[in-house]
Order: sequence, then structure tokens, then C-alpha cells
Amino acid sequence: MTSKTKEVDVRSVRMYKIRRRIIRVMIVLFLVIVVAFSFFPLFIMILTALKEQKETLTATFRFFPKVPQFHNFVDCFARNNWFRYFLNSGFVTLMVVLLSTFISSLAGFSFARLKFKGNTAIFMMFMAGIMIPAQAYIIPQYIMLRSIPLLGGNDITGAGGTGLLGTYWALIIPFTAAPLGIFLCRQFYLTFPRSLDDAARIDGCNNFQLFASIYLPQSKTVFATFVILKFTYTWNEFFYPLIMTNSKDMYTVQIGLQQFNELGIVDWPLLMAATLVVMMPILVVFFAAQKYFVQGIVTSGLK
Amino acid sequence: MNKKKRFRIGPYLFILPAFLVSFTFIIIPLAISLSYSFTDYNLVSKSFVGLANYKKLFTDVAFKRAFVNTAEYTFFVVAINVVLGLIIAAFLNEKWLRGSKIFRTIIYIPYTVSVVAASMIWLYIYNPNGLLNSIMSFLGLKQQLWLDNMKLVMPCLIVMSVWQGVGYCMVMYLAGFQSVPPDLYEAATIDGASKLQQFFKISVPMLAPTTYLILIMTIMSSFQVFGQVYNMTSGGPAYRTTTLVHQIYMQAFVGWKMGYASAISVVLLATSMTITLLLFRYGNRNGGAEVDQ
Repeated sequence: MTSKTKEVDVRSVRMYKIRRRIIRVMIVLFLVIVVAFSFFPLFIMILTALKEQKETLTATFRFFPKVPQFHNFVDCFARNNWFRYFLNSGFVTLMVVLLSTFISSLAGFSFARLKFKGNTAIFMMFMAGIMIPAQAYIIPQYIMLRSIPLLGGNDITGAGGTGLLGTYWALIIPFTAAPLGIFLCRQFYLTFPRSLDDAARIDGCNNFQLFASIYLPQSKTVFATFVILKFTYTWNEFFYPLIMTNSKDMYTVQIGLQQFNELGIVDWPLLMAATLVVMMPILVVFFAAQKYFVQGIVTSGLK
Repeated sequence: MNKKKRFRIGPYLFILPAFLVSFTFIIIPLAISLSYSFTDYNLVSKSFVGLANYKKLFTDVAFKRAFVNTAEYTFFVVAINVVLGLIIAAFLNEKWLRGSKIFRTIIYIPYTVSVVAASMIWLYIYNPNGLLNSIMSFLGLKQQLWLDNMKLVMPCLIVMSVWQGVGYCMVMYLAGFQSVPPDLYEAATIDGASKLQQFFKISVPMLAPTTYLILIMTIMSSFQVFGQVYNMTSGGPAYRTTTLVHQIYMQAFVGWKMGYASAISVVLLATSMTITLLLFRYGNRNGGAEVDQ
């Protein structure tokens, strides 16, 4: 190899390295912009939550509050009965999560481990439920819940009162069957070794004992995934409680938050403070259990 | 005898609670919804009107706008989210990149925010004294009434939905990349394929099943867009942002026209079912894509 070609070689390697470096810098720049776009609105929310109202109404915009108004986080809840909203959301979410986890694991166990006619067909039917937009059946659901006989002032024909509307049950029962949970549990139980079942059956376990003593105690990871997702969905649900609650006493936090918007001049700092507090439980769960959170989304594909 | 019988019915008992709830609160209401759509029903009186509700759909300006708006919103949100999500995931998947976990977490956070909270944050950004207008004046540009402008309001909603949804696509694609065999890239590198060629010739086809799943899920959820519209624009200005679900809500729970609203919900169901079936068909023809079960 002559010295000239060697020189060219060195130069082209150097050019290649420079080009690669430029591309990498551009990629990082792109990612930084995306991250900024993702984070900026949340950052602005936090800063605004600490401002005084008059600071948000002036034409000249300042990023940082003059003096951080931490009392906003208390004040924002003074106007409405927020303690009640949090209680409502908390209770509804807790009940939905508990009931749907149990019901889903029962069904998931049966689909994964028991032989019966129509196993696959029934399972696919449940999965098809995911594809049906909830708004396609919300009107009859509303009327059904409203006209349940002998409840909420209704007579025997289901007329006259409000039935289950405006009760916790209206917000809980329809969400206790979760295709997502059935799917996750079935997938999880399919990975259990069959020999486990055989051993338990030889010991005289029936189906339910098998489920309760072997499968249920081993379900921690799948439950963690499902509980986190279901918790998030239920806490964040807006359309359903908007329709099914008929009094301020039954509002969930999301409906309470939406009320801020209807008070004439918007008090942005208080609204942003309330928004942050309503988001808090989800953020805490997300950061505490990010692994399960992402895992659940990914294994199910559910949005 | 007894034991044999229990063995037969047992599996169904495990499914019974889930089945009863789904049957009562999804299947029966779906059937009733269809029957309501042929009636004039205001919660007090009900009368059969045949196809009148469906005929009315063709002359109803609000419905027509809602249908077009929903399609427009879905198209842009899905297209941007899928492309952007794929690009971000491909970059985050590069081995030389440091801190990809932090990038990933921050991009994902907006996805966990509820639609009401997100609406409130973006209402503040778009409001006349808000953040966006101060950025505009900082750049020497004209301030805008973002959500009252016929041309700007839909892009505003789309930007917000990209902010919320891109993290989902990114996470799905990152998981998809895990299942692409690394030796494919190694072989391609040895053959002299550039990174860009590798992306289009290996990553994109290998990720087809992921893309297909993301398409189904994001189209479905975009088609049901409601919270942003309800909280930020109330469908305005002049029906520019009203959507199918917003019209269902307005007709049913503001106007109490349950029959007419049911007809709209039947259209919503039929449209989203058609899209899903088309996707299933197209996906299956391509071979690679099946929804994992």
C-alpha cells in the first residue's frame, strides 16, 4: 500500500466519523425537542399553579411566579366539595379494581386451564368487546340503570325515580368485567406447568380449590400489571361519570375538575393546582411501578 | 354422577360473573340501542318512526360536520403518532445513545394524564393570555385566538392529542424492536447497507405486526374522541370540532333525543367495526400481522 492511498483512507475514515458524529448530534437534538414538547406543558402547569391570579391575566408573560403561592393547592379545593369528590373517586376506583381483578382472574383461569365446549369462542367474544366503542351502548345503559325496579324511588315497573343513577353502583358494576384482565390472566396462567394441576388434583383439589390455593397466590405479577392499568383507567374515566352522576355529591374528581371551567373567568392558578392534585395519584403509581405499567400496555396492546 | 356433573358445569361458573356483567351491560344495550334508533324517544314517550332518524342524518349539518371532523382528526392523529412514535423508538433503540430510559419516561408521562387534566393544561396554553400567544409575541408573530379560529382549532386539538398519544406508540414500538433478531442488522451491516436502508428494509417490515396492532387501537380510540372537544371547544366554533361522540352526547343528554342519538351511535359502531374488519383483513393478507391472543 502506497503512502498516498493510505492518506486518502485515513481521510475518508475521518470524514465518515465526522458525518456519523453530526448525525448523532442531530438525533439527540431531535429527541431533546420531543422530550421538551412532552415535558413543557406539565412544567407550565406546575409554574402556573404557583402564581397569583393577576399574574396570569397580564399581557406580559413571565415564566416563573414572583412569589410561589403554595396555598393555591389548598385554596383550589375550597370552592367545591372536593373532599367528597376524592372520596367518591377513591371508593369507586377501589371497588372496580378489587371486583374486576377477582372476576377476571376467575374467568382467565377457566379459559387457560379448564376444558369445556366453546372455550375459544367465548374467549374471543370477550375480546371482541374491546373493539366496541362504549358510546355505542351508553344510551340504553343509562336508561337501564335509571329504570331498575324498586330502587332510587322507582316503582315495580322501574318508573318514577332514578334507579341506580347517581349511586356508586352505577359507576362500579358495569366496569367489573374487564376483557383486559381476562386476557392478561389467561396469558399468565397459560405459562403455569400442567404438572402443578395434576399434582393438586391427585391431592383431591376441585377446580375452585386448585384456583384458590395454587393459581391465586401466584398471581402477584399479573395482578400488579392489571391493577395499575385498571386503576389508571378508572381514576381517569370522564365520559361515563359525566353521564351517570346526577348530583354534585356523586361527582368524581374528573367531573369536579371540569367544573372549574364553568365558573366564568377562569382562575388559572387554582385550576392548574387542582389539575396537578387530581393527576397526582396516577403519577405516583406510574413512577413507583413503571415496569408493570409499561408491561401491561405492551403485552395487551391496549390503549 | 354428582362429580361428573360438577366437572361439566364448573368451567362455566368461573366465567359466569364476567359473562353476566358483559351480557347485561354491553350485549343487551347494543341490541336495545339498535331498536331505539327506529324510534322517537325522549324518556317520557316513545313512538316508532321507522327509518326517519337515519334519513334525518343526511340533512343534519351538525352530524355531517361531526363525521368529517372525526375522520379528519383520526387520520391526522393516527398518522402523526404512528410515524413519530416509530422514529422516536428507532432512535431510542440506538446502542450509543445514553439516557434513553429518561427520554422514554418523560415522553410517556403525558399518556398517563387524564383527558380532563390534559384539556385544562392545553386550555391554558391556548388561551388568549396564555403561553402560546406569549411565545408568538416573543417571536414577533401575530397573536391568535387559537380555539376560536376556524382554521386553527382542529390543528390545536391534533397537536394536543399527539402530545398525549405519541408515548403509547413509542412504547409499543420499543417492545416491537425487542422481537427483531439482531443478526438481521449485523448481516445487513456486513453487506454494506446504510442505517437508513436497514430502517426501511428491516425495521419497518419486521415491525408490521406492531404497526397493525397500534393502528387498530389508535384508530378506535381516536374515533371516540370526546373529552378534548367537550372541555375545550364545546364542538365550536360553528361545528368545526364537533365529533360523533360529541353529537351523541349533545343529542342524548342535552337534547334528550334518545332515538336520534341512538341512530348516530349505530353509525359510530358500524363505522368503527368496518374499519376494524378492513384492518383485520388487510393485516391477515399481509401474513405477518396477527393480533396476539
